This record gives sequence, C-alpha cells and structure tokens, in this order.
Amino acid sequence: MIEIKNLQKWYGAKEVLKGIDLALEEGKVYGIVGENGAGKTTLFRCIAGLEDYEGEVLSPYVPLKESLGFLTTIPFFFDRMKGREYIQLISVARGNADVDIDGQNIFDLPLDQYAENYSTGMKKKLALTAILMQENAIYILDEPFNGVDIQSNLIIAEIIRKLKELGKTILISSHIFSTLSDACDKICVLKEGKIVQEIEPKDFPQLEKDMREESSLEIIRKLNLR
Amino acid sequence: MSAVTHYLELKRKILDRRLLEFGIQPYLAYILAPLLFFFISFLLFYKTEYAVYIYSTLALSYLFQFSNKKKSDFLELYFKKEAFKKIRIVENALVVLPFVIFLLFKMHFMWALGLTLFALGLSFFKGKANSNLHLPTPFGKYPYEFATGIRKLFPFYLGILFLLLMAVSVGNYNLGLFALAMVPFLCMNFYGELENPFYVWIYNKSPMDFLKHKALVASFYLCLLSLPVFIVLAFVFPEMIKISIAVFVLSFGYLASYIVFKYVRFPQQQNFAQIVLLTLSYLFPPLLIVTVGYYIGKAKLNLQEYLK
Repeated sequence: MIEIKNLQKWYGAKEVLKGIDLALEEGKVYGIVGENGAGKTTLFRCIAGLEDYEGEVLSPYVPLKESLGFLTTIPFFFDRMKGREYIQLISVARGNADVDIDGQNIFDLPLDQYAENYSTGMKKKLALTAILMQENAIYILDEPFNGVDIQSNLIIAEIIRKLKELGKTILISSHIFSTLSDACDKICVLKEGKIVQEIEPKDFPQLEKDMREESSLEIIRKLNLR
Repeated sequence: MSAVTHYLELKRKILDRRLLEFGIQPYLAYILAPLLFFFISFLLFYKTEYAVYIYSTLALSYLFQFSNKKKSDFLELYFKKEAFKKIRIVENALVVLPFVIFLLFKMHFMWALGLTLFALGLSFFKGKANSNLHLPTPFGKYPYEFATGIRKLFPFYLGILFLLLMAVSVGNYNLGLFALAMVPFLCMNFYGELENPFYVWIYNKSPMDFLKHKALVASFYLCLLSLPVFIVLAFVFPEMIKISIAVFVLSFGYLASYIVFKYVRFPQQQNFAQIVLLTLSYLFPPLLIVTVGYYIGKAKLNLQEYLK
C-alpha cells in the first residue's frame, strides 16, 4: 500500500497542495477529479518524486519511481527521436532492454517516424505503450484519454481493467467522468489543493449529478452567448 | 551497453540527423566545428581584453540552455538515480569542455576551474517546473517572441548592461560598442525557436504584410532594449557617435533579415547554406540587400501555404 500523509506543496507563497492524505491499495483504481488548477498534476508529480514537498509518501517500493509508470499530461520527446527509439530508451533506462517493441505496438503506431510529428493522441499512446512495456507496480495516468480516438479509449479502459486484475495500483485523472466511473474503486475530489470528498462507486451517479449542476448552467450564462 | 551509453549514443544519432537536415555531413561538422570554435575564440581574445568575461558568459548560456527542466524530469523519471546524475554530469562537462580547454590554453586557470565547478554543480541542481513569478515585460501588446524571449534570457540582457557599465567605468568604447552590437543577437535568440504553424495561420495578412508586421514589431521592441545602451554610449563617448549610430541602425537590419531568413524554410530550421550566407551578410552588411532581396521572395512563397 502507498500512503500519502499530509502532503503539502508550495509554489513561492502559494500553497497548491494543502495537506493531502491518501491510502492507495494494490489492485485498486483511484480517480482524481477537480477543476483545472486544483492541483492534480502537482500531486502526481510529488508522488513521482519530481517535486519537492512537505509530508510523506510511504511505499514498499524504494525508490518508488523505479516501480512507477507515470503518463504525464504532455509527454516529453526529444526532437528528431523516432517512436521506436523513445520506447527503447525508456526500456534500457529501466534495465529492460529486451522488449518486443513491434509485438507490443498495440496502437499500431508508426514507430519509425519522429515522435514530435505524431498527433496529440498518438504521442499519448506512444508514452502509454512505453510505460506499459515496463513491469511497473503503480501507474499514474494523467488525462490518459485526452486527444485519443474512441477505439483507443476503449483499449485504454480495457488495459486499466487488466492492470487492476494483475494487482497493480492505479491513479487516474480525467475530465471525462464516465471513464472514471467505469474503472474506479474510489474517486477523490480535489478542490483548491485539498481532497474534499472521497466517493465510493455507489455514490458515483450523485457525484456526476453534483458536478454537472455546479459546473454548467450558471457558468454558461456568464458567457452571454449570442 | 549501459543505459548512459545508450542515451549518449541516441543523442549523437539525433545530432547527426539535425546536421544532415542543416545540410552538412556529420563527419565534416565534427572536424570543422572545433576548428571554427578555436578560430572564433582566438579572434575574441585578440580583439578585446575582456574576452574572458564574454567567453564565460557564452559558456554559461549554453549550459543553461542544456539544463531544460522538462528534459531533466524525463530523465529523472526513467533513469536510475546514479545514471541520471552521470548523464547530467557528462552533458554539462561536454558543453563546457571546449571553453575550459581554451581557457587553460590562454592560462586563465581560475576561470577554467570556476567554469568546471559551476558546470558540475549545476548537474545536481533541480530547477523549478512551475512558478507563479512572471517577469513583467513591456512586450505584451504584440506577442510573443520578445515577451517569452526576454523572460527566458533576461540574465543575458543584464550581462549586456553589465558590459556597458564596465565599458563606462574603464572608458573602453569598444566594449560598450560590443554590448550594443550584442542586443540584436540576443533578440535573434527570441526568434530562434520555431513556433507551431498555427501561430502563423492565425494572422489575417498576406505573406508580405506578415513579414512587415513581424519586422516592425521586432524593430520597435529592439529599440526599447538597445536604446538605453545607445544613449549611454552617446553621452559617454560623444566623439564616437557616428559609429554608435551606424551599429544602432544596422542592428535593425540584422534582426529584420534574421526574421526573413527564419520563414524561408518554416516550419523547418534554416539550413547550412542560409546560415553561411547570413553570416557573410552580417560581416559585409551591403550584401544584406542582395541576400534579403533574394530570400524575401522565398519566404513569401513558403508562407503562402500558411496564410492562404
């Protein structure tokens, strides 16, 4: 189990994470929802060890990042690097050089083209393919469905189910509620750097209803669309 | 092959690809680059007694360009801790190595040591990905090159002002003139990064009007950055005003021509032949009339695709 205790993060004078407590069990899928800027990506970066923070991230895997597959919102690629080289680099870095890249190219990506020329969805799929080829125990997927076509969305949803069956711990953020409600064992609502609600599956429909009511009518009225 | 070797080998492959796209064979570049580097270094040290300051500033600028936070995050995420540190150290060492060798050759031992230690120290420094601090700039009205460029490279503008201060305090006009001449080259860096074609497409202008607009905005903002340097030189060294005016005026031509050259192959980088022609034109400014005249037509043709 991974335990996050009183995690706080400051950017200058601004406190962006205000004491996050979370317990992530093996074989469970956790969803994180919240408005843009609520602190989801910062939370993920802290867990991955890419940010300094106050508080604790306790894990049986030391260092945690060597057992972590982190799909970032906008994956990083070197210029003039082919898709195949990206996967090879990550695999070699993780000490897993003998991966069957073509055999596991589940999204049929053009691996001999430069990754920088891929579409947004293809970049996401390439990064996801690369982390799935490593034997990770924990997955953090930051907006895995963004920019990805419907067919691939279904494949990603199926992959998440399979990872869960294999006992992996998965943390996902998504703005598409149905993708979370289908896959998650718990959804945490992050608001202004705090987890304000932890919702069990039976209450997912109510959460969706609340979010719709909170977000839509009044806000759209402000736009004064003509 | 170790993970670090694999990474460095991949980076060499990537460099070869960039050189080929640039229009030069990699093996030729590996022979010519050190020769060119040492030739320019000799020239710099021959021309000014302050070369060691300029030289070290250049080395640091390359070093900071290499310490990209996103790249660093990527490497840190996937490589083991020791491998990550090795990569950072090797990359930083490779960047400063030519500078250090030349400083040693010129017997500036303390500078060489300082630069080496700084490069190694920077390997262990973790930059910040996000910050709520944004440098206010007067360049917001016409985004984006100057506004983003000065935020990234403002230490170099401060460096130029520092050179000016030194020039004034020791009464060295040449150093002050060098500071003035550095401003357009700093601004060229703002235009060095190729934008997504979307940022060209959004303009409702013909290719010629687009180039004019870009050049006018660049000239206006360049004026804001170089005018303080020019005014100080004009007051402190009034007897050299004609040369100061010539360099000040020429800097607009340099920056405008750089913008034209940028859009000749957009969204690809400029190639070797273009860079050679541009450099020759900068060394012999009357040539700019011919080269810009030639390349402006090519840039217009290339931009037509994005400004239909």
